[in-house]
Order: sequence, then C-alpha cells, then structure tokens
Amino acid sequence: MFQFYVGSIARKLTRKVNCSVLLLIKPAEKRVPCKHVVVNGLDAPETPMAIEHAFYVSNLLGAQQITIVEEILTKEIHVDVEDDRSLKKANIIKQRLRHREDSRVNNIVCALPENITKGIKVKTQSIFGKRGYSIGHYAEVVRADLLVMNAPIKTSIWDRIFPHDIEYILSDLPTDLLIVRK
Amino acid sequence: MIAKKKKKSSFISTLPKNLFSGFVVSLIALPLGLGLALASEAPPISGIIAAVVGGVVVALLGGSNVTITGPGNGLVIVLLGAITTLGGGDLYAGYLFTLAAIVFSGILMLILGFLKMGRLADFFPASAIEGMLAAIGLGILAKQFHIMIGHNNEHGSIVHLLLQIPEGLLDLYQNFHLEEFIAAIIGVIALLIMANYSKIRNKYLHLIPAPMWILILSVSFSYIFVSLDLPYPLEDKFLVNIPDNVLSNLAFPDFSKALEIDFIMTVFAITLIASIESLLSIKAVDKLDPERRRSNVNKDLKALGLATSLSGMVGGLNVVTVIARSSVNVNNGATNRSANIFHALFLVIFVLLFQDQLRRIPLAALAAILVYTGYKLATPKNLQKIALIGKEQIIIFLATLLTTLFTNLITGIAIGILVTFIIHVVLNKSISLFINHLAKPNILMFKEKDAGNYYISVKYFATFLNFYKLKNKLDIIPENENVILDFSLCSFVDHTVMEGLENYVDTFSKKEGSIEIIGLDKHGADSKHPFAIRKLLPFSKLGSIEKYFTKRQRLLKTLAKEYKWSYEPNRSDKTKFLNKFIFFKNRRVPYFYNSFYDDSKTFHLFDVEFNEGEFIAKEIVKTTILHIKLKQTIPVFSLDKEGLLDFVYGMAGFEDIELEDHPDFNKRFFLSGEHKTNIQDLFTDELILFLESNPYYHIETNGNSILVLKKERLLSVKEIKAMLYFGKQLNQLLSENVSI
Repeated sequence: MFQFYVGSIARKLTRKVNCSVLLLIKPAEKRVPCKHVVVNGLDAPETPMAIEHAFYVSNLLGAQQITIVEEILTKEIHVDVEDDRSLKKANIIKQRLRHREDSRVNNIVCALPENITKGIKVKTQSIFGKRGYSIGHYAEVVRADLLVMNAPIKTSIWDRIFPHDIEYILSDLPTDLLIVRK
Repeated sequence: MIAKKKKKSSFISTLPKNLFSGFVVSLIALPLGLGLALASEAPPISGIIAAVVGGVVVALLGGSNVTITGPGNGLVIVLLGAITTLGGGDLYAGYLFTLAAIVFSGILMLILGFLKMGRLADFFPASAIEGMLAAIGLGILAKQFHIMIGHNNEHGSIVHLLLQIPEGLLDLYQNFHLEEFIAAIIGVIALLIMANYSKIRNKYLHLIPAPMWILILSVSFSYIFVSLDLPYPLEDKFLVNIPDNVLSNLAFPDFSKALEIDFIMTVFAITLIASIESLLSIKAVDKLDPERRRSNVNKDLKALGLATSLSGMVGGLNVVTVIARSSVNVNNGATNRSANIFHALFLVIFVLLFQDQLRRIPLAALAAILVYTGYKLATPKNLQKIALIGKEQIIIFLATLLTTLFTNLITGIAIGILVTFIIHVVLNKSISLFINHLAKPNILMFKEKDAGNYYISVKYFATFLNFYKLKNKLDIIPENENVILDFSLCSFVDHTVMEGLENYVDTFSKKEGSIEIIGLDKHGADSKHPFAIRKLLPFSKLGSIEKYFTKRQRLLKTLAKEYKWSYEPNRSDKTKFLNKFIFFKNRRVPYFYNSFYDDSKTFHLFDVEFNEGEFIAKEIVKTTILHIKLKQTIPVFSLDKEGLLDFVYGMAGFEDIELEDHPDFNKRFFLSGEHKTNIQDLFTDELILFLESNPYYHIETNGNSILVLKKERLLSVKEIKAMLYFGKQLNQLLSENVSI
C-alpha cells in the first residue's frame, strides 16, 4: 500500500515537473553498476537531445553499451498482411524502413561530439510495434540498467485511461528511467 | 507478363483435375444440400440453391484456394429455430421470414469482411467451440434420428427429442405400420453404409462417396418396384419434395418482420455461427492445402456475405465454408477455386436432369446421412480428447454443451466464454492479472541482429482474450524464418493459445521455418497433454515441473537419445563446480536443471538460473551453459566478443591480450587472463581461425574445464545443437594445442 502510494506520487511528479527526471526503481546504498543503456530513437525533434543525454549519462555512469531503439509504427508499412503476396511486400517495405531508420540514427550519433561517444558500443534495434510500449518491454528483455526517453507532450487523464507512449513505461517501470526534458 | 502467362497456362493444365474433383464434391454436396435444408425444415431445394450460388460467387470473389462453400452443419440448429419461431407454427411463412434474416446476415458478414474481422473466430476458447459443435451435432442427431426411423412428426426441444429416441424405437415395434417400417429399414441400412464405408477398402467403391451410394441405392430400390409394376410402398410424405419447375418456383424473402426483436436476434445468431464456422473451416482447409497457400480470410468473408445475401434473395440458405466437402475436394486433387465453380455447375445439371429421380429419394435415407454427421460432431471421443488436456476443459466443454442444449447457441457460447474466464481467474487466484493487463499490448517482437531470427517475448498472460495480439505478430513473419517465442515473462498460458501455437509450429515447419517455445519449463501443468494450461509456479513448488515435460524438454530428451547421452530434467543444487569460474564469482547459482551429459561427463550442458545482486537489486537470469571437462590443464583465460558487454566484468589487472599478426582477432575479441605468454602460446593460427569463423560465444576456463555460454536467456534446441558442435570442436582444438 505504502509502496503504491509513493509510486503514485513519483508518477505524478514525473508528469507535472518541468525538468528532466531520473526514476530509480531499486534504490540501493551500494550503487549497482550501470552497464547497458537503452535510449529511444523515435523520429521526433527531441530525439537527438535524448540520445545526447544518454551518451552523456553513460559516460558519467561508466556504461559500456548503448542500444538505440527505433520504434516504427506498423501503420508506416501501408500493407496489411492477408496472404502470401502482401506478406512478401510488407517484408520488403519493413526492410527498407529498417535501413532508413538505422541510417537516420547513425547520423544523429555521428553528429555528437566524439569525447562522449568514445569507448561506448552503440547498437541499433528497430522494432515494429506499439510506440512507447515496445521499448519498455525490450529494455526488460535485454535487462538494460537505464532507459532514456523523451518527455511526453502534456498528458491528461485520458492518457492514463487510454495509455500510450510513456504511460506504458510509467505503469510498468521495467528499469531505471530517465525522462529528458528541455 | 511472363509470370502471368505461366499462371494462365498452369490454370488451364490443372483444369481437368479441378473438373474431376468438382464432380466428386458435387456427389456429396447433392445429398448434403438436400438433407441440411430438410433438417432446417426448409424446402430441400434451398440447400442446393445455397451451394450453387455460394460455389459461383465465392469462387469468383473469394480469397481462399481449395475451399468448397454451401449450406453448413452449424447453421441447422439456428435456422431450424428461426423457421419454427418466426413462422409461429407456419413453416413456410417461417421460411420466408428466415430468408429475409439470411439476406441481412449476408450484409452483416460483408461488413465484417470490410472491417477485417477475419479474427473473429480467435476470440472463442477452443473448448467452448468444441462444446458448441457437440451441441449442434446432438441437435441434428436428435431430430434426424426420428425421421430416419420413419417418424416424421416429432417436434420439441433437442433434449426432449433425445429422450424420445428409445420410445420411438419401441413405438416402431408396437404400432407396426408398413410404410414407417420400410422407411426405418432404409434409414438403418443407410446409416450402416455411412458408418462402414471407410472400413471397406475398395477403389471402385470409393469412386463414389458414401452419401451418393445411399441415394443411388435408394432410388434404384424404387425403380425395382416400377419394373415389377408394383406400387411404391412409400407415400409422398416420406419422399423428398422438389417443385416441378425449379426456376419458376423460387421463393422470395418476406421482410415484413424486419424490425422485430426475434428477427434481429436471428440475424445476429446466423451471422455469428456462419462466420465462426466459415473461419474455422478456412483455417482448417489451409492446413490441408498441398501448396500451403495462405487464404485471405477477409476477402473470403466478404465473398461469403455477398453469396449469402444473393442466395437468400432467391430462396437459398446461408453460404458458409464447409470442412467436409473441402477436404474431399483437396483429396481429389483440386488446385484452385475453379473446383468450387464446377461443383456448383454439376449441382445445377443434377437438379435439372434428374428431377424425377430426386423425388424418389426417401427422407429416411437423407436423415441417416445427417444422423451420422451429427454423431461425428458430438462423438464421445471429443470429450475424451478434451478430458486429456485437463479437468478444467471438461467443465468448459460441458457448460457450453448443456447451456446450448437447454437455451440457444448464442447463450451457450457466451456461457462458455464466461466459464473459461472464471476458471482462469480461479486458477490464478487473481482477477487483476487479467483486468489490469488486458488492454495493454503485451507482445514484443524484433529481429535479432546477430542471428537474423525473430524473437517474440510475451508478458503478463496469454489466453483466448489476447491471443489475437500474438497471432498478429506471428502472421507477419514469413513462414520460412526461425522464431523464438519466449514465455518467461508471462505467468499464465491457456489451452487455446497452446493449441493455436501448435498450428503455427506446424505451418512453419512445413515451410522450412521453425518456432521454438522457450521459457515454459518452469510453468506447472495439470496433465501431460502438450496443450494443457500452464501457469508460472512459485519457487517453493518448483519440484512439480518434473512431472510433465514441455516440448523443449521432450526435444532435449530425444536429442540426448540421438547422441546416446543422458538427460536429467530435475533440479540439482550441486552447483559448486561453477563457482571456480570468474563469471560466477559475483553471481549466486541456486540450482541448474535440464542437464544433458555424455557418459564420461566430459560435456555437460544445462539450463541454469542465477542471481545477480541481492535483495532489492536482485535480478534472476536464466541461461543455457555448456561445461567441458578437460583432460589436461590449460592456462586460465576468458574470451569475449569485443562489445558483448553483458559479460564483461571489469576485472582489475586483466587487460586485453593482443595476439601478434592477428589484428582482426584483436579487434573483435576481448581476451584476458593472468599468464599472458602461456595464453599467447595456446592460441594457434588454427584456433584463431576457428574462433573467427564461428558465431560468438563467451568462453572461459578455470584451468581444468571450459565454460561456454551465448546469451543471457535460455537457448532453443536448435541453438543448443550449434553450441554442442562448437564445444566439441573447441575441445578438440584446445587439447591438440596443449599436447604439442
């Protein structure tokens, strides 16, 4: 009960405040080493900043690997898989989208100053699925230590009833979470 | 252009084959069409109209390949109910009102098709559907049994009719009536033909399907009387009634009741049952298709809807995809939709040419065909099969069956769904598991970059409620790919999902892909059936997993047999030998399981569960490890892919050992150990080439043995085989190097 109460305060704060927020789900006196950071690589104007922050934080925490997850909307495929032909078509389009997203993210990483990207292994992973949800589940599956996300645009009560984007992660909190806000 | 031409020429070359199978199917469709219409208390010709309209429309516009469409078994009960209640006693008026309902239900199905509701059938628990089918079977059997023994005027509810069967048999004996007796004899002989047809192995006999044999025999029986100039001993009321001129005597729907509640309920019931029956049949026929094509269910649903509406307009019954006729179609070599058209054309020819003969068919003979069909749907074997899966499935099955028998189909299936859900809640002792996570997406799918296979992880729970989400993901993977399906984050998997997944596993393996299910080994099951419900067990109860194997465990067991190794699924806590490895220095290993070793215990492969961190920072990781005992000692080292950072443990004093003349190896691997020169000696060119040309594994030695692991998750059996092979080669190379 107490935990739930504290949790809801934390979530409320996260939604209301105007600065970046770091949520620790398992605070410990002895710091758990942070090895793997997962960062959101959506095609959005705030993304380069989120990625930059992720690298910055990784440097500070000594993380060795960053995975940039590009969540691609299933809508972008434009083809509904109904039989063998549409399946083939959809897979070709997916492959193309994957390449497009990878090169976009690579461009962002290349533009970052070298002193923060050096010594960190960068991986990209594209996922077709529900935005905001897939990245949380991915972070849990690969057992990431920190998840870095863009701040959401203002949320209201409706967003909690019909969750989307970051609300999924806030309701599950699979890992430590850093929400980056300007 | 060339492809199109090729298609066209292959279409023409397969035409004779399809013509033939269309002909054979029409031989069955004729008696079934007449019979199903009679069973619904509609004029017999209405069943033929449905088959003809359906055959033409769905073949031209549908999205499936070798299916046959026509009047279906499932609808008999609904249509019978509609005709008797809507007509208020007047069967013909009821039939006209029902035609209107059929027209509307066709429109509804068309809309379902446009809304892409081909998924509709996925929302029903498998056992509830079985229960519903059994109820339909009993319904057909109950009514037709009386007609088969010459009692044409039995009416009442299904249960009432069933209870009357013994009385009917007695009555046949006590109130002897020649006509009834002859009808009964024809009926019983017909039933015997149906039941024993498959047992007689004669290729000439099997040229004509059993229902057609029954028609031929019973019609020729009447001609014997004609040739002897005797009056036929059966009156018209015991024979099929077909109008003199079929085309000028078409019935047209009566829309005057369209706004009444009864009518609307009928429309919904017809639509629901027709859609479910069609969708299930399409899926089943896809599995039979020798070319393994995938049907476009939404397109088919649209075509079926249109066909149903058109059929209703001219006095025909519903058009659905039917499994029995479709399977006959496949067995006779049909390759495309033209077989469906041919089946329709042959039906037209039969009805126009043999009107007189059709009128000589005794009702009892048709009833016998239906009794057999009903029995097949409700055979006790189905209950037996379900009982094997688990006790809870019997409850679901019986609840659906009994509710359907005493009320109606819609209530029956609704109760089936409700009971299934309640059972799931009780089994998990938690309703919040379902309520909280129902609306959330719970599936993650991505293509693993290194191996190129698909990885799907399922969270929370997977039951009939959200199986469609998993299906959506599986549907968009080409069937020749390898898929790893991980349930380790999922605490409850139900029978509907397990059975559905088995179908996917089947399709994938037929197209040279694979689906391997991992992460279920720790879920408990109540029976050893592969489709049993599986629930994540708390740690204390883990002992019981040894009772029933998952598929992965069974595969491991057979793999062990192949290698002539031993397989031990039980948990073991003798994990001390692992502590000597650097990897496990700061990880606690409570136990390992699924272990797999050769006679000399040189190679030992097992799943292990270890903890990282303690208390609140504790994380539990499961992985598969290969442990190789060495005959001689080698220098202590550990080898990693550079950047495979999950495994790098930042040991002070250990740094990357560079090997001369192998810049590529240095770049890709992180080699560390205390005795630099010894290690450098150990890594010969041959070993380096071997390591470079194989997939990455984490390898480390403690001097006496080697530890190989790949990922921080359990490996699929395929991956295990690769790992074993790698381990064997590595062992050989290392021992060679040391002996030099």
